[in-house]
Amino acid sequence: LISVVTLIILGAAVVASSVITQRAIRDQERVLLQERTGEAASVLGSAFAGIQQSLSLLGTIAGAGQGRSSLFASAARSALTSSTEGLVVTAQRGTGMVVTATAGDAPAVGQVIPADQEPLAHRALSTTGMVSGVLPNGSRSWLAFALGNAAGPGTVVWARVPFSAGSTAQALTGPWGNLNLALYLSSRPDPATLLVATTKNLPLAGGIQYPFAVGAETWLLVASSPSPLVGRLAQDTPWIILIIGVAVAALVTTVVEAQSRRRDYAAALVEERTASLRQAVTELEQTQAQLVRQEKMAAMGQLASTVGHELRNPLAVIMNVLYLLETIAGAEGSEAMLRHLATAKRETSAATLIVADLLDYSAGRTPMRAPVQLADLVAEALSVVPPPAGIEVVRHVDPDIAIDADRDQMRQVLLNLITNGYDAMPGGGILDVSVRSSGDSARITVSDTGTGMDEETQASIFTPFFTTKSRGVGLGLAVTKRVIEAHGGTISVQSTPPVGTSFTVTVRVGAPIVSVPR
Amino acid sequence: MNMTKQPDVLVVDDEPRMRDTLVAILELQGYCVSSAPDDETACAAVQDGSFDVVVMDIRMPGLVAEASRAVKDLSQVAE
Repeated sequence: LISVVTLIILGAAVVASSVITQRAIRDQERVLLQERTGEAASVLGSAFAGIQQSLSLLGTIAGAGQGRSSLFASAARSALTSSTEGLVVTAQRGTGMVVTATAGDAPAVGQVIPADQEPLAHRALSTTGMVSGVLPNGSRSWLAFALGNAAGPGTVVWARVPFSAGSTAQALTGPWGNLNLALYLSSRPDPATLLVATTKNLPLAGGIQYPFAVGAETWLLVASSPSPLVGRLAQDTPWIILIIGVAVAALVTTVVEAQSRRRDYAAALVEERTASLRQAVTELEQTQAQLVRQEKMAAMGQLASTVGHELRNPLAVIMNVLYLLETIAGAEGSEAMLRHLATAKRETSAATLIVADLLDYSAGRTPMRAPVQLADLVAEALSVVPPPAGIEVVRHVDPDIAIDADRDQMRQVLLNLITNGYDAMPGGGILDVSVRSSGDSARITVSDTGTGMDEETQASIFTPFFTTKSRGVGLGLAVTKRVIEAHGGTISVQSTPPVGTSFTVTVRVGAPIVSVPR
Repeated sequence: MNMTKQPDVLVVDDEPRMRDTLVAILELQGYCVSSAPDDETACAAVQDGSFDVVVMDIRMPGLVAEASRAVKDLSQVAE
């Protein structure tokens, strides 16, 4: 985007500077053309002023040497130039104008001038200053200048120059050689009054109009320049600016684009690196947390092992002593003693179970696998822990499902799940134990209709030393999970308070049991 | 096995209190009970006397394969 903006800004700047330069050069061209035209006009003006002076001087001579045309002729001879064809002095005689003096190619003295020349003569007589006009001369024309009352009242001094009206002159050489010029005998560029032009392409497009005085009248010089006065290079400058500017803009845009891409690439790279770093940090943190957890578990296992071993023998001794005391009390028939001893035995048994849990947890031995008939195992477990009063056990056990497992460990699993189920139903209920085949796995489900667990509890039940029971160290399900996982199986829990809880164990089915004669 | 004569029992356990209570329980049952604190003593006792039953803590520290073999020999003797 930034490169597009750069391109637009630079492009606009280039075009603007090109246009400004073009206008400046056009203005300069105009100023130059105006100056040159002015120069040309002033030169022309002074030339015609010279003619007026000559006519005035000749008129004075003619007036002074009345009747002596030779004096006029000798004076006029010096005034005749290569372009001035003839000079005459006429005077009013009756109704016509009669020639009174002459020089060059002009009518003889005494001739009456043609009627078509009279309007110019009348105009000269009624005007102070020289007048001019085009007079017909057969196929060609004369440009005639006339100064009235120059050789006395009623006289007119004429100078005439032959030319082709409206003709195309050769292009000028010299200082104005590079201009197209058109000269009009009026103050407006009227084609009817065109005296001479250096080109046929009239009116001159974009020409400068420069009016100037010729005697008592105003002529108009129009000039244009076919080739630039400021020079070809100046004329081309806007285009040069445009082309170079566009090239620079393209270059700058390319650089900006490249920089922008490089920056984007760098940003992406930084982001990528940051992400991978963050991931690495996360992994490290997870690894550290796992290490800490493992360390903690190991410490707990150590503690469980130590406590278990230290308490096992004392508890066994206490049980033995209680047995002895019971026997003695039975022989003596002491009912109260027997009741108290029964309480002591029950509590010691509970303590023994906890110690057994601790030892199970700390031992964590590798399963010693052998085919295990699940129907038998369920029956055995239920006979070991029969349901307490108020709890009904329902069995849905498919016969002949065998798994390859450590029988003692699987028995412990079943005992844990069944006693947990009992404990979850203090007010009684139904415990459903089912064993079903599912593909190449056996699925053992132990469901109770107990209080159920909230999600937080469900998330923690497999954590060692987590317990909701008032008695127990919270190792039963931790041991159960470890055993199942050591068998390559899975255990999951589904619980809905207050409907009940269901544990599902999935273990791969082993080879069918081969019956061996006993 | 002679029904009139109570079997001779050897209790082997390194825990003195455990050993004592076991001896007491078995004597209460009317058995003729001897005891040994470790497997060496037990082996010697098995070699010398004739016991019908040996009650031994098989997880006793310092228990060697020799003891197991001795028990096996004893079982052959019993037959």
